[in-house]
Amino acid sequence: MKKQNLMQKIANPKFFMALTDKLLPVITFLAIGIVAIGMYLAFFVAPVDYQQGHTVKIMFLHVPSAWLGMMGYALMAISSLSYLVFHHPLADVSARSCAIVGAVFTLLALITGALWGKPMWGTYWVWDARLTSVLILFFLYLGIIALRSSIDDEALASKQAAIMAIIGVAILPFIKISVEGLNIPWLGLNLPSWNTLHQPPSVLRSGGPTIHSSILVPLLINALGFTLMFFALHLKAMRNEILRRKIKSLKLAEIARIRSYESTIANF
Amino acid sequence: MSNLGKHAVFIWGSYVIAFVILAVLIIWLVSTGRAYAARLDDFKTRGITRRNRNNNQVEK
Repeated sequence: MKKQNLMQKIANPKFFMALTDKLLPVITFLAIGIVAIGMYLAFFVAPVDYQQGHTVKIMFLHVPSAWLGMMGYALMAISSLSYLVFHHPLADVSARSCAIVGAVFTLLALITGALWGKPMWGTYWVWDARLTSVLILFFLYLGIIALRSSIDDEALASKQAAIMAIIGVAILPFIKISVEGLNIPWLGLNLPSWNTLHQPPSVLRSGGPTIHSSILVPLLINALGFTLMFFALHLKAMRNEILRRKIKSLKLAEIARIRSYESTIANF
Repeated sequence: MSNLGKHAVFIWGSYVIAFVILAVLIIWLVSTGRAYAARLDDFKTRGITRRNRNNNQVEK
C-alpha cells in the first residue's frame, strides 16, 4: 500500500477531525491569550497618537480585521482552485467555511473603519476606491454564501461558488493599489493612487513600516492573535461542515433503509 | 484607559460591536456543532450507518 504524505493525511476528513479535535483548543487558547496581551498593550502601554489622539485605539481592531478579510478571501480562492483542480471535498469544505468567517472580519473592518472615520474625517463613509472596494469584497462574500444556499445540487453549487471565488480574487490587488497606486518600472506600468481620504499603508509597504514601535508592536501582536482566532473559527466551521455532510449522507441512508423495508413489505 | 477623550464613544462603540459580532459567530458555530453532534449520536443510537445505504444499493 502506498504511504500517504502529510497533506494527503490531512485531506482525509477522518484524520482531519481527529487532528483538529486536539489542535482547536490549543489555537483557541493561544488566540485568546495573545489578543488579551495585545489589548493590554494597546490600551495601557501604547501612547496616544500625536495626530489622531485616542482614536488610534480603533486601529488595533480595524487593521487586523481588514487584513483578515482579505486573507480569508485569498484562502477561499486557493481552496476553491484546489477543489476545481483536485476535486477534493475537504478543499470545498475549506472554501465554504472561509466565506462566513471572512465575511464577518470584512464587516468588522467596515464598521470599525466607519467609526474611526467619523471623528477623523468628519464622515462615516465616502465612496472612494478603498472603502468601496472593501464593500465590494464584503458583497462578494455574501454573493458566494447566497449562491451556495440557492442551489440544491451541492456539487453544482460548489463548482459555481468556486468559479465565482476565483474570478472575485481580482478585488484583492485592487484594494491594495487603491491607496498607493502601482509602479512597476520594468513593465512601464505606473498607476497613480486614487483620490482618497484613507491613509496610505503604514505597515505593509516597500520601505518598511512608518509606525513607531510603541504602536507597531501592539498592532502586530493583535494581528497575530486575531489571525489565530480566524483559523480557530475557520477550523470550527470546517468541522461543522464535515458533520453536516455526514448527517446528510446518513439521512440518505435512512431513506434508503425505509424504502427497502417498504419494498419488502409490498412484496409480501 | 478610563479617559479616552471626546471620541470615547467611537472607540468603545468599535470594541463593543466587534465583541458582539464575534460572540454571535462563536455561539452560532459552537451551538451548530453541538446540534450536529447530537444528531449524529441519534443516528448512531438508531443503528443507521452509511453502510446501510451502500448495502441497499448493492441489494438492488
